[in-house]
Formats: sequence, C-alpha cells, structure tokens
Amino acid sequence: MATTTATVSINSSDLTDDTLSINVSKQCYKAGTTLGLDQTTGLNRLYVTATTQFDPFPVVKGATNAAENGKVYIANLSTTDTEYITVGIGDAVIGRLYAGDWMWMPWSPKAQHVNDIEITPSVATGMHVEFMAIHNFANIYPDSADS
Amino acid sequence: MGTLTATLTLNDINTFSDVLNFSTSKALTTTATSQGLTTIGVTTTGANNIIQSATDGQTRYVFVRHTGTTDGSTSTTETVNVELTGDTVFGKLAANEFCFLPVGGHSAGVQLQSSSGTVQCEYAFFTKG
Repeated sequence: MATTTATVSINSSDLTDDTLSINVSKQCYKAGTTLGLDQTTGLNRLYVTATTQFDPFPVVKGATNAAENGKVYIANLSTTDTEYITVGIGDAVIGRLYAGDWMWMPWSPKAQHVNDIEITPSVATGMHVEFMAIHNFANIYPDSADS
Repeated sequence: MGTLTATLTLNDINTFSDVLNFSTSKALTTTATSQGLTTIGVTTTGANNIIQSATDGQTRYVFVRHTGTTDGSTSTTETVNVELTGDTVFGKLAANEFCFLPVGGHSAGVQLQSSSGTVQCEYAFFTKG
C-alpha cells in the first residue's frame, strides 16, 4: 500500500548526563484510516526578498478539511544565524525557524483565513525557504479568476 | 548547554510519480531550560495539560508524540490537539503520530487536549541557545 513514512530523530550526547536518543517513525495516513495520504504540493523552494507575510500552501476556499490529516514540512535554508522566518497559523504565531531549522507538524485546515499557514521572513535581503504538504484535502486551490 | 541533532526523513516510493526520499538534519545549540522525554495523560481540558509554560519570547524546540494508548497499554484512536496556551489549536495528532517544531517569539506556552477520554503522550522541549 502506498504510504509516506516520516521519521524524526533527536539525539544528543552532551545535553545531560544521560544520552538523549529519540527515534520515531510513522506512516502518514488519512484521518481515521490506514490509507496513505495521496496528495502533495511537492517540495517547493522559494527565494523570498521581502518581509511580507505569505501563505506557502494553497488557501482553502471554504470547504472544510478540519477532519482531515495533512502533514507539513517547512525549513529555513538561510545560513545566516540571525535570519529567521516566523511561522504562524491564522492569526497565531507558532514560532521561529532560524537558519537551517525545520519543522514537521500536522495540519487540518478549516476555512480560508481561519488557519492558513503563514510565513514571515525576518529580512528582505533574501533567503531560501523550503516547504511541502502531504495531504488529502479537497478543493483547496482558489478558483480561477480568468473569464 | 548542549547540542541536539534533529533529523527528519521522508520516504515514499509508490504514492507519487516521483520517489520521495529526503532527509534534513540540523545541529541545534540549546541552553537551559530543557525538558527530557516525559509522559503525560492528556485529558479533554487543555489548560490542565500544559507541557511547556509561557516564555519570555525564547524559541523552544518541542517534540510531541501520541502513544496510541490511554495509559501505555490500552489502545485508543482518540486524537490530541496541540495548542498554544489560551486554546489556539495548531495541530492534531492521531495515534502514534508526532510533531517537532519551534515554538516561541511570543509569550504563549504549549498545551495538549484530547478529543475524548485520556490519551497518553510523550513530549520534550529544548530551549534554543
């Protein structure tokens, strides 16, 4: 069966007297099933040159996907330690990804502007940002405005 | 204080036309305070399950995993919301799912809330140095 497997490892030999070694792995399933998520945005890489907040993933039109079970990867590829991106959802700031940092989190979008994932670069001098969603959301792309 | 090496690997050979196989790793410099891997019985009131208290704006790397059980042995399919304190939901974990992300740049903490009953979760957090 087609499934995406995500693995996170967190290791440290000097954080405490006891070695830290967390290693977890899980298939990415549709909510309440053992069927793999079958849609993806693909792995995207952007070069951003403004501190303007943007939505890295398609905005939900209004149909609810709140019961669905997407997964999101976001990374800041900057190599300048002081540069960060602020990641938020709706109006809430989750946190900052500094140079080289990445995150892996679930995402269940509801309606447009309610819990869109948002990224705000800290500088306008240019930095690369990488992101991908794996999901089974319905109708998340905006309607075409062309006549 | 210490260095964490955090690695994410995604692999899928047959869902999409292109094989998904990548790994990203980062050595994270940390400082006090840290919380080692801890278990918690998560209930339906998020304010009773605060796993990381409010900060003064520091960034904390937070790991949360749904164990798929209510108590370490009894299976459950109930989900767990991952929230900022104040009940702002930003993610939902199903059985055995996990997340790793930075939280900070604000004063909110992190809390967990089950959809029903008690769900045992694991968590840890580390403060960016």
